This record gives sequence, C-alpha cells and structure tokens, in this order.
Amino acid sequence: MGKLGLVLVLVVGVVQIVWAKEVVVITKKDVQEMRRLTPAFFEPTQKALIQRIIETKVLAREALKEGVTCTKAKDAIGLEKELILTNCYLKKKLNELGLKKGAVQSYYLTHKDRFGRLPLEKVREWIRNRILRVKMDWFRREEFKRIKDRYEVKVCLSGGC
Amino acid sequence: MSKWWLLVVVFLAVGCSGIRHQIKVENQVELDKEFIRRVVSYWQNRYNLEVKSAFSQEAPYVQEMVSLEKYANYLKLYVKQTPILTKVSLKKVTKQNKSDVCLDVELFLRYKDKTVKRELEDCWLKLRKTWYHVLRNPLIFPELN
Repeated sequence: MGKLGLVLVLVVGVVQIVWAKEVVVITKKDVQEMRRLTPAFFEPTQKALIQRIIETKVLAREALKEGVTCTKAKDAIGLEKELILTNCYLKKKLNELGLKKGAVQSYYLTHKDRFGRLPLEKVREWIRNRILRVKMDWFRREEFKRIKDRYEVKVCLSGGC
Repeated sequence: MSKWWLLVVVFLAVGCSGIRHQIKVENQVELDKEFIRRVVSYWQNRYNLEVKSAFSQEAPYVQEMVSLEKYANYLKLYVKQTPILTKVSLKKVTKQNKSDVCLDVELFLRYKDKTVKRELEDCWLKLRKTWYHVLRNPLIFPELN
C-alpha cells in the first residue's frame, strides 16, 4: 500500500470515529418495564411504547452527556432512572428557554373564572406549572427529533441483535 | 418579441410573489381601527397559510402550549380545499372588557365553484397594547382548557 492508500485509510477511520452514531438497544425487558411504569388507563400500543422507550433512552443519554444531575434518579435503576433523567433534562431545557412574556397573564385573563379568590401568587405558580407541563409533552418530541440522528436505534425484542 | 416575454415574466413574478388580494371588510361594530386591522390580518394569515405570522398573533400562552407543528397541521386542515378569504364581516360584540373582546364574525370563503359563509365567535385579548387571538377548539386543543 502506498502512502496515498495509508492516508486514505486514516482519513476514513477518523471520519468513522467522528461520525459514528451511538447505538441504543431496546430489549423486551425495556418494553415490559415501560408497560409497568405507564399508568394503566393510557393503554398504549406496543408501537407507542417502543417509541416512548426510544425517546427516553436517547434523551437520557443526552442528559448524561450534558451532565444533568437529578437527585430523584439517584436511587432509581433501569428505565425508571432514564425516565427521571429525561424529565430533568427537559425541565432544565425548558427553564433555560423560559416562558414567553405574557404567557402566564394571558392564560389567567382567559381562564379568570376558574381561579375565584385564590391568592394571585399561587395562581401564577399554578399557571406556570400547567403551561410547562403541557409544553413538556411537545417539547420532548421536538427535542428528540433534533438529536435523534446522532443515535442508531436497534430494537431487539426477540434477541439476536 | 422580447418585450412580450418580459411582460409574461413580470406577470408571472407578480402572480407568484404572494401579493395579498383585496379583502372586503364589513364593519358593524364600534371598535378601534387597529383592532379591526388585527382581526382581518389574522384571518388573512390563517387562510393564506402564513403559519408563523398567524401563530405569532395567538395569545402568548397558546404559543407556549401548542407546538408550531400541530398548529400548522390544524391550519392546513381548515384550508385543505384552498379557499380564498374574500370578505370579513364583524357583526356584533358579544363581550367587551378592558382587556378582552369577543365578537361574532362572518368569513366569506371562495372555493372553486361556490362561496361559503363561516360564522364564528372570535375572542381577543389585549396585552401591553397588543391584541392577541384566543384560540379555542377543545376537540383539537384540549390542552388549552
């Protein structure tokens, strides 16, 4: 092999290392665990469960990479730990983004009757949490879409992956 | 000959440049002009599928609780047969406070072979001198309740 060949092999190797996707493996055990962790009334399909597991595992990896710390995740294991980590990661991101000016006020003005004479400070906090809870749902999907290309997902439900 | 080609190109360019057609506005309510302009521009944005512009006119809490993707799909659902909004008629104020207004609105939509009138109650909210639309569709957006 000439010098050119050697250089080519080196370049290909470096490119592969740099662009290599991290592999995420989904097993039957994950599906069982996610079914156990999902409230029964949701009755998710197998496809929906797997999608949720993929999102959770990918986002949890991202959380670890970014050094997200989570006291609740300390004693948890397996998928439960990854779910908690994912939530902490998304909360951190949402807090960094903050809410649009007027979000809490506009919610209050359109749902005023609901709050009666509750103290304004409590109402404000409740609305903020409500907005964040709803936002978390679509934000999780968008965040997953943003980073999914960095990972290669292998679904191995019957072994042999 | 070349002049004719130039004319055709100009004609096509104008046609494709997204210039808004004139919308007739029939106003039977006594509300300030800025508000009426806002209402008409909002509905025009929705029917022109200018998603980002329409989204930015929704109340701030809506912009936080609904993803732009879901909002875009919702608008496309309404304009799948690509109607043209030809007239906005502001009929009657049904609720009016310092910071919010609801009014009956009629939208005239021209389809290929017919014009359809859509009647609705439209609510708006004023925040720091700007009017925002209040999106209400419990079937599609139950999360907003």
